[in-house]
Amino acid sequence: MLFSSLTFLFIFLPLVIFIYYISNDKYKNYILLLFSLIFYSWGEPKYIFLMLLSIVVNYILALIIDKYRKSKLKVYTLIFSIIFNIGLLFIFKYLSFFTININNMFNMNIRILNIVLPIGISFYTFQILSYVIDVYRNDVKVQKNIFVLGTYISFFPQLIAGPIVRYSTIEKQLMKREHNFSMFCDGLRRFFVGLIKKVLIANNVALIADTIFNSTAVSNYNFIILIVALLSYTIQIYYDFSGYSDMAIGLGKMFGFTFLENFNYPYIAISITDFWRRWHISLSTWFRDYVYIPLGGNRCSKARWIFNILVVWFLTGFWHGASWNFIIWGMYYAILLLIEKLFLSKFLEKLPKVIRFIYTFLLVNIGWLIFRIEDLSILKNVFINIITLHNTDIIPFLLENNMLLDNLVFLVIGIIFMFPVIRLFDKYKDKVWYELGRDFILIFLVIVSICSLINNSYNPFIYFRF
Amino acid sequence: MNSNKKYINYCFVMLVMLVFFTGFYSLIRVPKDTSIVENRKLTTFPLFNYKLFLNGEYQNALENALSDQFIGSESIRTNYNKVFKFPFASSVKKSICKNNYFSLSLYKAIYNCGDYLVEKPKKMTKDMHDIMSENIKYYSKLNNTIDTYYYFITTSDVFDFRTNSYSMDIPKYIKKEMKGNYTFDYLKINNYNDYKKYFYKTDHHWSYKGSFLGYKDIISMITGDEAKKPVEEVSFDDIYFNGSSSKDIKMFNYKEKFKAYKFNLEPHITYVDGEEGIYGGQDKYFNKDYKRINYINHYAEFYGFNPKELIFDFKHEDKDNLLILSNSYSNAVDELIASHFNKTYVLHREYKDGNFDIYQYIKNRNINKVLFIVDYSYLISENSHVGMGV
Repeated sequence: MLFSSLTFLFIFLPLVIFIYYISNDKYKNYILLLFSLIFYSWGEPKYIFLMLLSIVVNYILALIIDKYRKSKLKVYTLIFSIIFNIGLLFIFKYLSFFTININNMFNMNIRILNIVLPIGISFYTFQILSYVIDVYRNDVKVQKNIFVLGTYISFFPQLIAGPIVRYSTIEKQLMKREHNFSMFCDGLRRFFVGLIKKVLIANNVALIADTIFNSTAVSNYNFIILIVALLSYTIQIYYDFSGYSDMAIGLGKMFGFTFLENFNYPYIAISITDFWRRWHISLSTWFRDYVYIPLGGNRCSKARWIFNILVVWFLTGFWHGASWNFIIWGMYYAILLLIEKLFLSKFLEKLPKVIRFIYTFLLVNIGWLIFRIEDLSILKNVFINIITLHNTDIIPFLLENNMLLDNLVFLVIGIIFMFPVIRLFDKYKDKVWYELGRDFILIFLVIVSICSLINNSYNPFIYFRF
Repeated sequence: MNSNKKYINYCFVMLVMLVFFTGFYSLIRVPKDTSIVENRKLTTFPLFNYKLFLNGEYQNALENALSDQFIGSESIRTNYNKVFKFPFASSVKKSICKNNYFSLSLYKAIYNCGDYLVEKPKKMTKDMHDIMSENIKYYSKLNNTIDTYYYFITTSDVFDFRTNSYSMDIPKYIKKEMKGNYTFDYLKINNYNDYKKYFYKTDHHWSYKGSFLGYKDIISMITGDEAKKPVEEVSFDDIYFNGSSSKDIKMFNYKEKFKAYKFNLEPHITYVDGEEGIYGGQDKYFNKDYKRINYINHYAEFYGFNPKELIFDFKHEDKDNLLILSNSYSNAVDELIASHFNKTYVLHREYKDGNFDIYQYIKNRNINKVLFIVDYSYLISENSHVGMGV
């Protein structure tokens, strides 16, 4: 089920809020678990059992780790848990990719299984892993109530597109959390902000990006069209994913949970390092804490440190999808970060912030080009067309694709609000007129978003496939 | 929480609840079956079914039903695209659409910045050729058994206004592919101005002027008679016509006044699907007794919807019996053509199934002449030759 669907907005959400708030506190987690399972099965009825299996197995493994804390069984159980979880992820997400590549490389004919990727498997697998590893490290107490653990893993706000919520973040809230009207309203507002970002900006600029990038003639387009497409994708992926995170964080608040922020105006970053401190924070910190630091982080030889960076970014890229372009995208960032950390950072610090912003934004955009175009030969052609300022007649394209001009305004709005312009109004935030005005604008835009959904507008979610 | 903040929150939640209660109300009110605006059946709320749920069909149906049954969903759809028009986009469009097609969807466009919704001109593909050639092969079988006449309506699908020539020269194609003895004519369009004269702004059908020209051509081709003249040109000024083209692409700002010619035809009997009755709503329209509902399909309401079989009996015993094979285009001219014959049978595609035998149909009704009134869509329809086998 999509947050930006009428079924969610008008049936599921009101129902879960109503039942949740009339229930006794001791049943609240069960209510959330039940509705989360309904939420997941709405989109993936068949794969609900896979998630339940994952919950049960990891629940038992964590109990074993806790019980045999002083024996070697603890280590073996952790290894088994990692193999089990990564194994599931491998089968459902990467098996076809490996089979295809083995067939190509060794001229073999191994049967390719058409396995549909279970929604959200990348997210909930990482959440489960973080829980088991944290129990192993004794950073969190083992959860003895399987329903509470189930609630954590399957909690519908963050289940299918993140943010990756660590067990340690909500451990206490799972057992006891405060509910108050003010927090509920703040959560609702945040949810609406996310909905508006997704429906009004991401969906409309997606029409530009998808029309251009999905065209069979993309390799021959004028560089201006390609730049517009790339900018549109840059805006789409930000508003799509950060919109989803806003909705998740808002929903969490409505049910008494506080999730950590997942985005912090990433496109105003002034270096690639800075960008990754602001983009998909829950993923980058996950890799930092569960891969990079265990590998030795930067407290090792330079060669080992470079290796650690390459491993982490290879995995980051591969996590996003079973395709070579994602691996290249990961390695692209590994190289950029290494260059920055080894040579460039001192030079960059001396440059004006505007130049550093342009440098970062440019490189991030190139990154999104790699991320968006899975076919490497098309990627090469598009990239060459952009840098060589490939100049074909733009008019036939505009005549054929009226949506480009119609949606250009959303691209401009998207670009404006990728900067923290809202913060300009922070000084008024305690004024009654400001808060009332903000709420009216919010509700007006929510109504427009609902109208857009009723109009059956384009509604793709990029991060659903991860 | 200070008291101001508390009241602001109450106010906020009340407004949100107001918005969301409209959604609830949509769930409990009596569902609507059809949309005149969009010319389609609306999705109603599905009953839960485990099998449909497992393959995702139930979820899709529920989402579609919510979208279709939401309070004011029709006006949301009609107005949403009007609202999101931005001056920058309009001025760029105006600067590039001169003597060009400006695309509004995959198939629909406007030409030369005009307000006529036209089809983008198509080129012949192998698939199109295969279907058309197969159909024409079957039509040809009739040619040597009875007098056959073909009238092709040149639509914007096959004519390119940029070059003022056929993008797909169907008249030439028919002449090349058709075998046996037959007579052929077609609605001639030489340029965009001709098109504007003979077709609706917002609908794919021919306008009252286009269909009248077609009728004159057809009668001249079959009987050589002089065409009947209209007694009046009537403009129905209190209604707008949003044809199928504007509905298909949800461009409801494209609309036009509905006009028609009035004729005085001799008394006759009409059978619609075997029942004696009145076909179309011309009398009602001329008596100003028509539906004044926005977005209604006036072409169909005025000329008639597609029956399976239509029979006009003018009781001209000394004249021939005619069979017309066509689609909705002929609705505008069937009665006029029939006035030149004794009995006229009109068969729409819907009549013909696997058991239908056109030769038997012709024999049983003493039909002397067969007239095909076809457009591009008829020729590429895979079932337009059903019953012509053997």
